[in-house]
Amino acid sequence: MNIGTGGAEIVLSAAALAALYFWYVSIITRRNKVREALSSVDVHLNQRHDLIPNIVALAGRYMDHERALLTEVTRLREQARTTAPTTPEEAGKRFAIESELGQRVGQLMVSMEAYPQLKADQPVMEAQRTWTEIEAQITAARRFYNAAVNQLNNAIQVFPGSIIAAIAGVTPMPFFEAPADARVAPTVAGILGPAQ
Amino acid sequence: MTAAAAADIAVLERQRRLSLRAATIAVMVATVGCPAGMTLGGSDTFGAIGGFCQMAGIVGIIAAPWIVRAWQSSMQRRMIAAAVVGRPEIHHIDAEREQAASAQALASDAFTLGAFRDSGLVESFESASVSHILAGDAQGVPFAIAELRLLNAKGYSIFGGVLASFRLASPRPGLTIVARDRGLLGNLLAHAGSAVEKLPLEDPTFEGVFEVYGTDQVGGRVILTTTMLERLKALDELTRAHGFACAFHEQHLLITFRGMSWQCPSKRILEPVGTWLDAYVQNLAGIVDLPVDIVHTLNLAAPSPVGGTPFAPVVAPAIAAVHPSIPIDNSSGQVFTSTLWRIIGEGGMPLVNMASGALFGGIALFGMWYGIKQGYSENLFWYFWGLIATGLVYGAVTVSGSLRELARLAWGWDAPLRNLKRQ
Repeated sequence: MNIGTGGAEIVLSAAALAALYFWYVSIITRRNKVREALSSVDVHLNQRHDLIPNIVALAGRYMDHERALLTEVTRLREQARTTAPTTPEEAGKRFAIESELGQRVGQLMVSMEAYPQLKADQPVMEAQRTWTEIEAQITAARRFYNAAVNQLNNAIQVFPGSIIAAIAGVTPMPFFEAPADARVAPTVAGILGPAQ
Repeated sequence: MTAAAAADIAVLERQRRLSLRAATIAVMVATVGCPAGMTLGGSDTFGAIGGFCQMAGIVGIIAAPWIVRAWQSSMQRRMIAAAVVGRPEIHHIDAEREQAASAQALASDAFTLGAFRDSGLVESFESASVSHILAGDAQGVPFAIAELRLLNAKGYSIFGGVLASFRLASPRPGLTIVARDRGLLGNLLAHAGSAVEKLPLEDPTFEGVFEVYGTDQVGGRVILTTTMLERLKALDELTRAHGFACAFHEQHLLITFRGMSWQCPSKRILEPVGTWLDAYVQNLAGIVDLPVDIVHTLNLAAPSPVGGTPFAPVVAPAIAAVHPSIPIDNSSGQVFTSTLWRIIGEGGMPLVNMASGALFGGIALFGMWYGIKQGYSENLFWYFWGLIATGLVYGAVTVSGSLRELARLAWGWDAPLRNLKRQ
């Protein structure tokens, strides 16, 4: 009888340990997925950084009245480039800078519409097209990152994941949110309408 | 000229009646011939007549479904040809009569049969039995859509339905598969051991219907923008009766409609043509319009998801893109093609083997138990123990081999994503 009870205890303990181990593995896997997603975001953001000097140089030829905006874009780009995120705080800071940078370049693009010479300029058109493509890829990378962060945060904020995460030193990661001007509600016509 | 007008209803009705009569006679011959053949006898003459009746009965059993299928094929051929009248952008290929043209259409820029296997939409197959193909150009997008059966190496049908392929203006990065949702466990098993990984998306409605897999997490999301998710949901509404799965694979959008058939149902042979022909013609007209509807709903005519210059693939595709030629033939005359035949064909022999192994192995086990308990006489000692050892070995080998065969069949059953191996 005693042997049976002891056996049951051993089996239950082993099952509990196995469950905790698998939970731990799942948290580490999700953390690594977030890192993968973060590096993917980083690659696309760097592509954007590489393009910005060209856009600024092209715009600077005609847009004397937008000097302040061009300077601000250049400053934000430099700031973003020097921040390589490894911790949640650094990532949050980087995302805030990137969001602001995206907003400012968006403003610059809108301002360029007011300059007919710029609108007709072939290199500017090429740069705008490339910008649109890179933005689409950043959006996709951001969705990948946010999905991975959502899974990680869910796993480490629910008991007993919270305890395992604390022991393993895994902390919640911030979401990479879209710039405020990108949060425009889609219309049905825009979704199911003809080719854009 | 409308499709209904193109077909002469009177001719179709006469053909239906003739086919129905022929099938009824075949059934009657089968019903009467087999029992009569068994009862007649007693002399050489009656024995010969009985044998003849039995043969006639067997012929009747085989002929009846073939007559119905032949009528269905004939109706289908006529009505599809009528449905594409006045549609110069769509070319109908009757695979039975135009074998060279059908082979060419299924290995063209718009459609490559092997791409469906390499994209994880269908199980691994070795050949295809094609009924009909519609090929052409929908709003500038070349396409081909084929009703067919895909056959595995043993000749069993692993897919029956419609495959559609659209050549896109620009290549898409990686491989992105939009499969049907199979529930928590089903989804886990569906891509176990596969080269593709799950792409979790933000839309719970979409995720409730579909499950997305891909080789490139970012590339997949470049394709499946929130707008594209809405478009795919709209396409699902459009093809509600035939749940689709699709894959963006290099420069193609590949779509499968499992179970979709362009044939008129066999039970229609019992009803006058005039009572159901319009509905059938409308159904076929919807199928003829389907490629244009897909191009419009998914906005495939646009050069790329974000406009402007085409996308360059972000990463090299993880799946081999070599499509060796696949033998095709026509399938209009085939009768025994259902899933049941595959289960019987592929699972039947292992089950028989397992029963045999269990029977002889069981007898050997009983003999062993008896021998240990009671013992065998000295002069038959080696004889019995030799038989017991042989029975045990036979039982173990046969049962384990059969279990392995059944497990292999179950593991590969309707699990095309597992075909995609990491390189």
